[in-house]
Amino acid sequence: MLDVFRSYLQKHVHVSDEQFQQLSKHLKLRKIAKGTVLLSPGEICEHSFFVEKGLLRSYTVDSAGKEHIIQFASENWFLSDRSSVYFNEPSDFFIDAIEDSSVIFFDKDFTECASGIIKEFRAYNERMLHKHILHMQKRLNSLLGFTAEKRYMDFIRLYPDLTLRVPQWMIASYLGITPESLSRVRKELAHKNFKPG
Amino acid sequence: MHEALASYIKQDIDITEEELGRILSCFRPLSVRKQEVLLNRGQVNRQINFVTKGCLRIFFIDEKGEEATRYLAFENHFATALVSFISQEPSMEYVQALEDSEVLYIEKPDFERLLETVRSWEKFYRHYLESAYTTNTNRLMSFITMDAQERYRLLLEKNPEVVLRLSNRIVANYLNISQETLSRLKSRI
Repeated sequence: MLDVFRSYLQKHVHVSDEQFQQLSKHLKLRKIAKGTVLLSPGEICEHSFFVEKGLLRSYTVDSAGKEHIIQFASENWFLSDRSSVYFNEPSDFFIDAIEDSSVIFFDKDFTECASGIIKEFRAYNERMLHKHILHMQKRLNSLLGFTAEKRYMDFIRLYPDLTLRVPQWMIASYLGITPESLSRVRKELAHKNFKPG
Repeated sequence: MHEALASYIKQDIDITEEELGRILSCFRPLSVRKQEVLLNRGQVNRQINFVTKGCLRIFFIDEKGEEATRYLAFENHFATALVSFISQEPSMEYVQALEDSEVLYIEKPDFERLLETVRSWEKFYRHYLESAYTTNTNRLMSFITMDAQERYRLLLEKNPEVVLRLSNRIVANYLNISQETLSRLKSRI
């Protein structure tokens, strides 16, 4: 149990058996069936999620009832509503499982506790937060300023394993385009002989 | 001038007067003229700015060669090309004054030294980063889930100063719509 997360964490900070034992009090591993909703709008997000196996997504629904995907999280990704966790505010989005998944639930106070137990953890957490901000800012700027083709290529680079796991309409939803436009972009890229990677 | 920054910091975290004094002593004042550019694309951003008077804009040039505005900051807000500040790589973004402005700024080495020596500064920085993340997420969501009219209404509700103080060109650019669409929205609402 928790081995996947342990080896993930070990890559970033040194953790002894005893320290990990203490940390694991704030973690719960759960099996989740495809379609399970982990967070809904209006709720305060009480956990962050780490995907051991499977696939989660966060999304919003607009006033016309249309879904828009904010983020995907496959193996070794974190997902939560950071704003809701940190500022204790009601969430604006859903988090659900796109595949049967095994997910670690992190308590709200995990970061504080881990920083107390492991000295390097605070710096690690800051690096993660930096990464999340860079990622979100890039996504915002690319939505504001770049073509669908460029955005699709960024998507493939960010999530190389997802193009085959996720239905095309979800990828279109993430990119903010119609499935028809996505199919056109894919054809054009195939024509140009684009190889992801 | 430092009082505004002091109360901004105290509002977010618990801090002793001694720590606050050490933080404030690292911020220096800077006056910028309307239209003046504080950071150019290609430069490495070495400073974090706090606006005490006026307005700063963060924008970049998109694929079509047009300006795209990511962020606008009036009085009592930070405005930083954060990606370049964190990575210390050349910035893709510009920072520009839209009005004659007064800014307090802290440079990277002082910033780093504070992180190591003042515990509450680290807390404040974390708070700042979480806020920056939230701001970007909300803005992203507004573009993918709202049409032009909904975005305009939200702007009037949350940040009316943008519409009251800035030119139509900037407002339209911030909403990612044409100036024609903006005037149509203005006449309708």
